[in-house]
Amino acid sequence: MFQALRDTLPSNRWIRALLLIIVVGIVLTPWLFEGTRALDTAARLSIFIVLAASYDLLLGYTGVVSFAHALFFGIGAYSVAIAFDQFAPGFGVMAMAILAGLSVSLVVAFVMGLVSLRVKTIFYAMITLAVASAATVLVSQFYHLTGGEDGLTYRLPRVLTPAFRPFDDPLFGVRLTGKLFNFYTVIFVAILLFLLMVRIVASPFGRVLKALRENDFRAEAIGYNTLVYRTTATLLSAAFATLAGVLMAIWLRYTGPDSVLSLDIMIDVLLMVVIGGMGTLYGAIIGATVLLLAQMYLQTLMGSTQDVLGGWPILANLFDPNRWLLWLGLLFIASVYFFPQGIVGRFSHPRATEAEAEVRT
Amino acid sequence: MSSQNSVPVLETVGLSVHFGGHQAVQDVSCRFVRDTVTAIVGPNGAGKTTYFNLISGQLPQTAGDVLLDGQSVRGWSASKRARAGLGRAFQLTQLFPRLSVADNLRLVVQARHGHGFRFWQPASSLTQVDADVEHLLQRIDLAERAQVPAGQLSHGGQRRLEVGIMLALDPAVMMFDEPTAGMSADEAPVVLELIQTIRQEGGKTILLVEHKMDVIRSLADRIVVLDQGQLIADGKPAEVMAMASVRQAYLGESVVTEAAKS
Ligand SMILES: Nc1ncnc2c1ncn2[C@@H]1O[C@H](COP(=O)(O)OP(=O)(O)OP(=O)(O)O)[C@@H](O)[C@H]1O
Ligand SMILES: [Mg+2]
Repeated sequence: MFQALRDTLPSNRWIRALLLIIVVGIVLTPWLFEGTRALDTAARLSIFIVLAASYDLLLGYTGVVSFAHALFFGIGAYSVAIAFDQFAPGFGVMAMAILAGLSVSLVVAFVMGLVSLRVKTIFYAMITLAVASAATVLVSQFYHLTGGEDGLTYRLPRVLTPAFRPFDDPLFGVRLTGKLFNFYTVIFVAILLFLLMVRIVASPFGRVLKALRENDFRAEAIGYNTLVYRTTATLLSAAFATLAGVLMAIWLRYTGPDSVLSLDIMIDVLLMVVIGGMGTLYGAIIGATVLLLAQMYLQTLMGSTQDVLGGWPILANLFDPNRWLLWLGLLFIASVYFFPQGIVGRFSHPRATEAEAEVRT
Repeated sequence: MSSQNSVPVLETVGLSVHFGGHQAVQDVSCRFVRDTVTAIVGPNGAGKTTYFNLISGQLPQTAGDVLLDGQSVRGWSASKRARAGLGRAFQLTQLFPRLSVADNLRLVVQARHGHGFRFWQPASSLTQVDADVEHLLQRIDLAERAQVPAGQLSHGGQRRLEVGIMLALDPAVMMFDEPTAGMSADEAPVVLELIQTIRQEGGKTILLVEHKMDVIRSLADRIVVLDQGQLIADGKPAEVMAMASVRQAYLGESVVTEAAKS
């Protein structure tokens, strides 16, 4: 594992420090920040990091453009939601739901791949977009199962809910409830999934994915069956997205089209990967952090800025919290303009490369 | 030459392809045996590259067949043919431009070893792959540039890497498509010496598309002439160069005079 991390971590010290701060910040959120909003942000962030990283596996590493990634996220979330809605909440039911969700995702990804991965770019993108929109229609059509536009609210196993309080005494000022246990389950699984992806991109297989992105004609000519590799990448990426969806369903105790399936989510994920840096994996961490923090706190930040600027009406008007989308848009444009390869891509070369260069001289 | 008595490594039988109405390769039957360098010559647009594409599977034929060790490879994908021992170096360089020179070669070596479907092991721990790559970098004289993205190499460097990929793949059949095209006079010999070395090490079946007659004379055991998609001559270099039909189709004044000199 350490070898894989060494091979893939960005070499830039500042980027590394930033990554460390984000990860430590997420893990220690209950102790560092007050309130449920911070806890919610941290949990969502860790889930979106997995989702964005799994999308990077496809977009950044393999060079496959898909707009169906949120679909797999949704399949994971809905499989848990429907199971808990239909059956008594328990870990057995959860395990079955996860297996079912993974199977559905893999079948959908496989069929989509078979139909259209032979042609790499625009046609595949269109097919995935069509399938993704069809899925949102299906969800609202089968409302008795899915809850339609309202979504599903359901009960979790008791140990994962705030009602579960095994200890009376708080630990360093934080109450140890089922909510906290839920939080750390999500964080732990998210970290595990991310490390798995690190392992994959550092493997010989990961190397082949980059070759497909760079020149699939050449990859084919040296003996890699590009269709098989591309399909495998699609399946892997779909599986990780599904598991991220499972985490989302467990964390929110609610699953609806807007929280896991909408095109907005797809666009968010795309932006996270692009802002963070395609084909870096770690870019997902930074991209997701930037985007999520902006979405959650930009309005608040603008509100306080407006108060400070009270004396200058024109400026104050500019920072009206209702204009936050405008500022978010400007933020994207600026980030893509200044960091076309993404933040991580801009500042890094894999460390292994440097080490070898030293050996050679 | 031993082409009469041994089973050819590679054979094309009535191989043809047309693009719309244009017959780019027409009924080409030809056998290639081990330890032979066959130069394939012909004017621009004669169908040489297309002939290679049909053999290595980049293009499906409209008629005819390709036999590798006597077995038909009809319907095989390019990757399967590469794994079976049909290697290509392309006329238009085909590299992984944003990956380092070393990574370009690592990909090929790991393909040869069949490591592509390992998900778990760190790629950097494949020490045999790295050792092979180190050796290859020396051979193509790019050891100093190992960490440079392939796309940033000079034209000559990229052509050397293109040949290096062939070396790394180490296939039984090597198809070089104008390996020295666009190289400067002092760069070309590196590549030609590499091919010469491969030839002397033996065991390979080499097909070489080349325009320069001095190169052909020094490297080739045999010349095959394509013209407008058809095979119009096949034989020892001196014989072929002397043939009237060949001169008319392709070789032109310069070669005739060169042939006369030798
Ligand atoms: N994919 C294709 N579609 C249509 N026409 C093609 C295609 N590939 C090649 N051709 C045509 O087939 C003919 C043979 O081309 P080819 O590239 O094989 O010639 P060549 O002998 O390699 O020439 P050169 O010496 O210039 O490399 C040309 O007329 C070319 O325009
Ligand atoms: Mg050609």
